[in-house]
Amino acid sequence: MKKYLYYPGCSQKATSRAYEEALLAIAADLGLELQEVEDWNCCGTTPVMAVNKVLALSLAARNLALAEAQGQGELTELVTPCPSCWLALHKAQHALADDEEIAGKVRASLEAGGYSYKGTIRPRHLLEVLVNEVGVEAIQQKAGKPLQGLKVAPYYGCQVLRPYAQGDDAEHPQNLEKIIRATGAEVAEFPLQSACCGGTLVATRPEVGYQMSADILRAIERSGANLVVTPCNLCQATLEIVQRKTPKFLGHKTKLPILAVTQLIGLAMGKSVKELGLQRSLNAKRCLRTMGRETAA
Amino acid sequence: MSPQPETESRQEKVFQGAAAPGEPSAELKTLFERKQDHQFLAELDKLPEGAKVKMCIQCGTCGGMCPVTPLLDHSPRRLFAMLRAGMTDEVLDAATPWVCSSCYRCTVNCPAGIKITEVMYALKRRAIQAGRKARSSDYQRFASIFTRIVSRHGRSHEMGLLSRYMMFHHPVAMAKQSGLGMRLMLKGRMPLTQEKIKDREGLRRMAAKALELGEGV
Repeated sequence: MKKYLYYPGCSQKATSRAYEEALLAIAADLGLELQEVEDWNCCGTTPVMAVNKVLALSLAARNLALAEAQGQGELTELVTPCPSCWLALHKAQHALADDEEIAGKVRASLEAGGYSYKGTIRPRHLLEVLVNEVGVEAIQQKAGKPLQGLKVAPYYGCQVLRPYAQGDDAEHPQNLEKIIRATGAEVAEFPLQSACCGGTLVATRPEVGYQMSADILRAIERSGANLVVTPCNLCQATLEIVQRKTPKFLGHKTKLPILAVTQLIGLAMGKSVKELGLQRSLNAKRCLRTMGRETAA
Repeated sequence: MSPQPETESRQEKVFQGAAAPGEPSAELKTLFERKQDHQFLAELDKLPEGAKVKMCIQCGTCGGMCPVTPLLDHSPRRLFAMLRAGMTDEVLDAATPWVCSSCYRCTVNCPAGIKITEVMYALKRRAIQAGRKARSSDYQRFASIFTRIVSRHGRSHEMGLLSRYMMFHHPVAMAKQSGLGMRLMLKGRMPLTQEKIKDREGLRRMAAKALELGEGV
């Protein structure tokens, strides 16, 4: 068993619950022991950075401080499934190490709250850990019900690749492709695999945000994919939400199941619909039909 | 045709609308005689993310690959030129930073190595601190509500965030989205209650200190 500190992030408890449910369902089989950081808080993500830089970095750094205390020097690797959380934690780690002026302010804020951070934690994204630590062979071995006949579109989104592509190639990412092949499915190639889904713009400027995701869905559909897999919880929710409105933006309805990477692996491992949270999809029925799992178990 | 008359006609065009023959137009006057404010650029230059703004080669790679181009009033390239021309007022009123979706495509491709996305964050913070209201984007309000929620409770809460963001300002959109909200709720993906961390005392002390130290950064 490989032990890691685990930072879920807020959306793993809400819109992306299924992503986490599936992760916890497959972790033990893949030899991952995840120790959730106690009393973790929101990483600050993009909105706080727009308001106050020291606050944004301090929110992220509080989690690093808690992780460091909990890991007691034995556990130093902090895994998170959320690209936005990973980026926020990574940025805070960078700022504390490289930018003396900001680091001083962040440390003073941490101290005001009664926290301290020496700087020993290494934040890592789950996708990269799955490929580089668990390994493609292990996933393949555990895939008792390989997904033969399925064509899967690897959609990365932005923040797992930019500006820091840890453990993958920023321009030609391969981690999702490797996982798709390990599950026995075929990779569907399409051009917009690291295009922005629109994210928050879907709420704040819907006419633009929806179009951005709709374009991605069209590109995926043209590739002949049966389903989409993504390592990003925000992208997963956004594509699902936008898909309800594709007739308005594309002139026809796209009908793609959109899964988190952990759900795809879980399917190949033969986990049940409930264990993988597949019933939580907005188009759950279609999801299940695509997977050949009409009956919810 | 000799080059001479063409030059004259171009000059004529530029000076069109001049008060008296030979006097520059109102437009040219605003460009040349306006007050230039270089203080903000000097401050930006001191930040790690702003240090390279002066190195912009005006190639246009950023605007060319930006996924939200239709929403930009000025491309990042033009914003940097405006900053160097001392047009701080216009830069702080720009919509561009507020519609940036933080995809970092410009950042990783900028040949001058400017951390453009981070500069956009710095412009947003500066606009807020200067009390500017972004006229064409409501993201400023979204970001403030989000920040308030997480620095009080320690966790984000989509239901609370979206209802506070939309209720009075976007009631029609809220009504349209209510069906989606209900479905997400039924799927167990949109909890009604706000999650809270245990050590909210410590968090609030930390946030108060950070807000104070973060002024002007």
